[in-house]
Amino acid sequence: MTMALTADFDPEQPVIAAIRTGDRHAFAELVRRHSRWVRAVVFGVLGDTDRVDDVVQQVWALAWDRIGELKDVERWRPWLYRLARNAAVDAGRDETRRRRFHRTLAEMPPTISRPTAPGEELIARERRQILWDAIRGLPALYREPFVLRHLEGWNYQQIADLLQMPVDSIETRLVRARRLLREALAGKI
Amino acid sequence: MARMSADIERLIVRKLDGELSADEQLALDRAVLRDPEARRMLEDYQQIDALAAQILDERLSGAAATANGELRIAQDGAERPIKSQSARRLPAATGNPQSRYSRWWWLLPAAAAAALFVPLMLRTTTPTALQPAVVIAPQPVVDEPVPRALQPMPVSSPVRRAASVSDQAIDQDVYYVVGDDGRIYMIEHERQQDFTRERGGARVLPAGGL
Repeated sequence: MTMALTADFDPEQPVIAAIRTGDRHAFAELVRRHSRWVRAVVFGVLGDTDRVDDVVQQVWALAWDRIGELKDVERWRPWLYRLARNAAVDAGRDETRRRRFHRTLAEMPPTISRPTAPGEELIARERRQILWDAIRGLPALYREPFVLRHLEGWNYQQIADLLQMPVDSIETRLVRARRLLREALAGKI
Repeated sequence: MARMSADIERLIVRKLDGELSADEQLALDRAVLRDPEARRMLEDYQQIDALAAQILDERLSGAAATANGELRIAQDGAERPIKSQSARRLPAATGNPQSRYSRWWWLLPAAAAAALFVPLMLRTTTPTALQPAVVIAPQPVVDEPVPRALQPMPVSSPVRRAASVSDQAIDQDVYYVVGDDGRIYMIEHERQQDFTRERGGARVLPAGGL
């Protein structure tokens, strides 16, 4: 979905205003239009899809509950971004704690080597899995703009507006994300 | 990485992201013609980008999940009430039913450990170590007259608590919406309302409203 983040008139503002009066249909409309990038932000921070559904769910519930706390309606997007990011960071912290706890209880299970069978489909699947693992392995600060760029197709300015960062920083992060992916995939795909 | 290569890399990334100006495009074309490493980098990044876009779309947007047909996507986007809390999470259908059971492998050893551990704890605990249980007596309800003009008061007000004629009603609204990623999002909203009952038994709202 393409959005004009920097346009003078934000078509979502009346929607946000309606939500603040308790209009559920308006809220449903907001979810419909923006769940993809919220999802991208949550994945960008968490780096794994196991908990994305739960966290995104939590973000929308929080958004509904706390919409009254939004002081400046024009700034609803950074506000929603912060909600999503904080929820993902909290979830990531819990996950790290849980993993640390489980690691003390038991050894990590041995890695099961996947059989290598001929066939283009299998090779293609293998390549996708390698790239997916590499994306997940990116540091969050590179993964976040990378996912927004590739999932949403946003340009540098749109990403910069959302992440509240200079455009140059976004560009640098996207360059580094690709460099890291290329290094991680060297000779593999 | 050499300075020249870093500049070319930046141009390649800008090209792939659709941010390249005409001058930059010219510079990149020259570099790619001249330098085989630049060409390789462009090809690699193109491949990574194309595959990444596909994978992210597959993994992060995908089709809407339904819980065994319990819920259907509202085509018109209208809200539908949720009949049961079991519909709160809508997991995607998993291919391997065994994986559901393998998640609970730890239950049996945990139960065995508990069966050993609890009697051991009961034996080692001396009777003197036991403390008498603290019994919290229920507060008597004093039926005091309600003031004629009901004034909004803080909930923690002792007067309000002593009157004990207040009642609370919690309305829970649960509904779902379908996002642009095709997934269903559940929204729960709890509204707590304070009612004060008059002597006659009818419910009236406090002066401050809801």
